[in-house]
Amino acid sequence: MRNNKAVPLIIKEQLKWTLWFLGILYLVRVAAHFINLFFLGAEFNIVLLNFAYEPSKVYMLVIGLVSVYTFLGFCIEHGLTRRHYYQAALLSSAAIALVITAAIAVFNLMDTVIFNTNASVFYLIDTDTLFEVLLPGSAAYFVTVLLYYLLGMFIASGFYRFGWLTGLGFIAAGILFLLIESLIWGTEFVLFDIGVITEGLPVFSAVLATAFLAGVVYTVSAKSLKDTPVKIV
Amino acid sequence: MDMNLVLNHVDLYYGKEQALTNVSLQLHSPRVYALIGRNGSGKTTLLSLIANYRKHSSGQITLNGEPLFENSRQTRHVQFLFQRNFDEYYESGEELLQTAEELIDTFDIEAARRIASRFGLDLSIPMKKQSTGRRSMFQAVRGLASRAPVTIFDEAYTGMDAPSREIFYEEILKEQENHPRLIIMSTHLISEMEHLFDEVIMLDQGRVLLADDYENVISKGMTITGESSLVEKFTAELHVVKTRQLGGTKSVVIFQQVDQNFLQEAKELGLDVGRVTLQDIFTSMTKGGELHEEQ
Repeated sequence: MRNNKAVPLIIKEQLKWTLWFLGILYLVRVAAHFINLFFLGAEFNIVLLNFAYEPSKVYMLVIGLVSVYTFLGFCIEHGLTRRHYYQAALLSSAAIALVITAAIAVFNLMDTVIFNTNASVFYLIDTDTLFEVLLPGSAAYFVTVLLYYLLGMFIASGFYRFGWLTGLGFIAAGILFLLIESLIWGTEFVLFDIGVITEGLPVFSAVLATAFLAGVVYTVSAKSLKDTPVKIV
Repeated sequence: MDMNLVLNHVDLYYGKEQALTNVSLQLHSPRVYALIGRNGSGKTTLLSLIANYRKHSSGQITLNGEPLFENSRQTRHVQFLFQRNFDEYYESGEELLQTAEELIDTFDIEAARRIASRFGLDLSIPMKKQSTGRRSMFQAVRGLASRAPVTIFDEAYTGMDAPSREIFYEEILKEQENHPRLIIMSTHLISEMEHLFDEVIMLDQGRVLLADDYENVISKGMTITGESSLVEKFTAELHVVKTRQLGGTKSVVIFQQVDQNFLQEAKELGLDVGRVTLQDIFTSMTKGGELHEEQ
């Protein structure tokens, strides 16, 4: 992995996409404030950590999906291997998760200054002091957005390697992994109008369990891509 | 850097369908190999195995004595240029060349810019806006400038006009003189590229029909033309790959090494002996096409 030339290139490319995402995210947040101010007039009560959490997960899921179709062929085309790709995908997902976590933390503090919102609230963390939210909240953010990237990669690798029918099976497995994630964090999981909600694990255990889940998801993705034919397009 | 590429009894299956059967080849640098075969004969499939795009089902593929598939010590020596779809590429040609320079050890970006300029290829516009011919030029530029010890062009000329193809051929000869390597060219334009080839590999229905030195191949092919019964009698023991009857005259293409006595005997019998081109040998052996005789 030390000499993997694909790592900086893939990080750089995804970083470009991520800067767009973060810019648009905060723009939407600012727009939401003014829409609320001018059209509704009610007291505005968005907490940035909660506001940014779901979009960040969805964004990571999407770029994880795109990653396989964009970068696997790119690596093979330049004389690299499948292994270079899936190692680079893991490292880049960690790097992008870190950037998003740091950016949201900064946005959170900016929000306090600009909009006078409460920076010490995050619904995954059961506390209300900034210091206590900062580290566990960041760890939770990092590990869950990382999991979503790897879930995207997992589903795309199923479609890429095995075609659409087995690919649908990977989507089903992905939904199962989302259910497990909800059980770990005690968040609401609703599918076909059936809801599941638990107390969830303590933060430290939840972070470890999510990291383990991400490891499982990544391992299956890498195994799926290990000998896959690469499309000549 | 000397390259030694060996395929030993290689088979490839797509599900139950067999795409390649018992392919055994030895390729060395510095040589230019023509890979010819009809549509669907397995050319791109074979090249995709050499370029690490696909794993073979059985047999061995080695480069410099090491298994090639997923072996980064060897895959980095191989560059495979094909008719690429750049529809989603907002990057300019220059940006893609810079990426290639970062990833390919042997890539020479100055050579790439020089060759692009010979083609009149504008590297500053997004690749998605380039025409089919210009995308082919870009692939040719990238392949030539990669200086990869094993460089593969799979019908790289598609969409290029005649002057551009001429530039491409000139640059191949120049590169081979200054930076000799193993080049494999899959093509249907056999006659206009014939001067480039050192070796010929002919595929038919996933099998190797012929793999030999170009001069050997050409020296084996000839036409014998004359009175039907005389031609039939004279060529009865020879490897005839194509026959054409015109009234009482018969013309056959033979593919076999013959000696001077044989040619002398044919002339004494009043038979016309003519040389044929690689294109003729190809069309004759794979059944179809017109015969272009060179007396």
